[in-house]
Amino acid sequence: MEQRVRILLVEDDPDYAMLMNAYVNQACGPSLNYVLQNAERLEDGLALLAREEFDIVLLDLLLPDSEGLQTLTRMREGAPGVPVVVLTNVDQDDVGLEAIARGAQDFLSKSKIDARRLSLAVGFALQRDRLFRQIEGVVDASPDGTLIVDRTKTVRYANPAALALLGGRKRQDLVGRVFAYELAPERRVELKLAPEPGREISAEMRVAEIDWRGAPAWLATIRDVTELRKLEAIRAEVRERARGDQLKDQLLSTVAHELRSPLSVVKAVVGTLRDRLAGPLNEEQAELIVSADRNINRLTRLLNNFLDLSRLESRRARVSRAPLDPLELVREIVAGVKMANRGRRLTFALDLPSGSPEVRVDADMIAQVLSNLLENAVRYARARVTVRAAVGAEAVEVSVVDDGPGIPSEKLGSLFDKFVQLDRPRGGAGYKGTGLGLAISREIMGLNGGRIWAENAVGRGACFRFTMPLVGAPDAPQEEPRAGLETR
Amino acid sequence: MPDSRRVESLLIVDDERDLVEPLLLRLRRAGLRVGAAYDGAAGLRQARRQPPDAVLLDLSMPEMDGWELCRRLREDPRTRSCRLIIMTAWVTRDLERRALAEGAERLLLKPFEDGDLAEALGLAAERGRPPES
Repeated sequence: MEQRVRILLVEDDPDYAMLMNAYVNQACGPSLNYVLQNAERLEDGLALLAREEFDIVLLDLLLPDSEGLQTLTRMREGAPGVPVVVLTNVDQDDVGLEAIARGAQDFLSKSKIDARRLSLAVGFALQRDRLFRQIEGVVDASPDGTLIVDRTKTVRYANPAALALLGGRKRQDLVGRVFAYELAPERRVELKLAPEPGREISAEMRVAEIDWRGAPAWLATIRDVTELRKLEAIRAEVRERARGDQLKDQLLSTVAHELRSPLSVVKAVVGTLRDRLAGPLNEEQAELIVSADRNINRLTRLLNNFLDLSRLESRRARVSRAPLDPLELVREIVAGVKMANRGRRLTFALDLPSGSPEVRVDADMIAQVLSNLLENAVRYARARVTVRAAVGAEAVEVSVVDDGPGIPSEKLGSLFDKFVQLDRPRGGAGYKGTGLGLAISREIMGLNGGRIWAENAVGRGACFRFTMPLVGAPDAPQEEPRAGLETR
Repeated sequence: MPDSRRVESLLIVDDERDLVEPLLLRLRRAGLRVGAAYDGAAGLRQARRQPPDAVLLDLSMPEMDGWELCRRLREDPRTRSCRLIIMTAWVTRDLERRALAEGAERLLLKPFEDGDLAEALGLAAERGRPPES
């Protein structure tokens, strides 16, 4: 296939133009065809370039309307896409080299030109130009904004990504204009950019010193780091929260210690009086002391529950879930509670399936939940507490049912909130709850992949149920996802 | 119960004098020989001078804390066989494990039941029951 190379010769000497035309024709071969047009003045050449396509410009530096390297500069600015080979006079190699530094592809000494040299120079210039375009193509395709800024802070080059970041539509919106940002080599500069009204982005600019067409210049790379900064902000927030939780835990530990110390003194002193170690008591005094002792115990429970709950809520409680037989656990806990209540006329009924299913939970935590439910049931039951278990497809469900007054329907919704207590049955004395047990149980079940809820038993009494996921089955979805970030 | 041997002599080391007083009263009534020191260093001196069967010690104390006291008592041949019972108001992770690792046989969390203390000292028979009424 024939290759056609369109040459524009900008040369005001008609004799020399004729000579060049002859060389060009001579250089044509079977697969290579040169077409040459001549312009006598720079302005004419630029006008031609604006109208027609040329592959290369052969440029004489001494023209009627322009002289010296200025001619090259004006040509490059007027037709930046077209490669230029400069024609120099004898002994002007230094001018030729300077021309190359300023963007010419090559130079030819006018007196030494022949057909072969011309052909070689044109071929070489075209190759070099292609290579340059290839590099430029890479830079153009880069998703990072790339700019070249000269020492007068004028932008000499900008790739499409730079245009998009800095909000320009065409290269002329940036190229030839003053760069608005500080250029600091060897330092990352954070920029706040608004490529379009209402859209603000974070960008990071790095600057290197380079040589651009023979003069020192800056190469600026601008990267959109908006998403990165968002991620970093989230990470910082997560860290901040974790630190907050840690401080809260430390504070709670300290407060607990500060409360426990005087509480232990009061308890020891009251115990001394109660046990008549400091002398005899009359009946009235003995009763008062027993009441004081009971309330010290209640205060201690409250303190412990409060600490438990804080630790559970801040998700800093240590959970070690392992496979275990829940029926075994139920039997054990029920036996313990039965033993502790052997003075009362209460029937404990166990209704468990056969077999030994395996659930994946923290044994101590589940024991705490079940003990808590049983203690509640014992407090409200008239004659009977029933514990049932059922093995489902994904979980084992345990229910604790009493035959007490049941749960008022308006309390059913808030029962698992903190400090919610039902009216105590039968007088004011006896064990007093802290109002935190069910809140703790709910937190525990959440950490163990289960659920817990309450309902009124058929007939009378309250029924509390909770589930534990079987080994290999998924955790129950949690009803109330915590607001904000989940840290794991 | 880790050890049913009844403690005959006891040293209480705690800077909380208000707590030490009722403990002294109760345990002396129970027939024990009980001494008291109000910081770790004094506790160590006293234990070396007259080694008791058991030391009931607090963890956070001036001069020398309870952990250090445990170590010193363990190092000294005179006090090596003393039974160590730690009482503390600090609840931290792995507290019980660390207490055992430091050679204590029992950890009592303040406030504790008189019965738990009695049990720790091998006085379980008197647990929760007033000596007279």
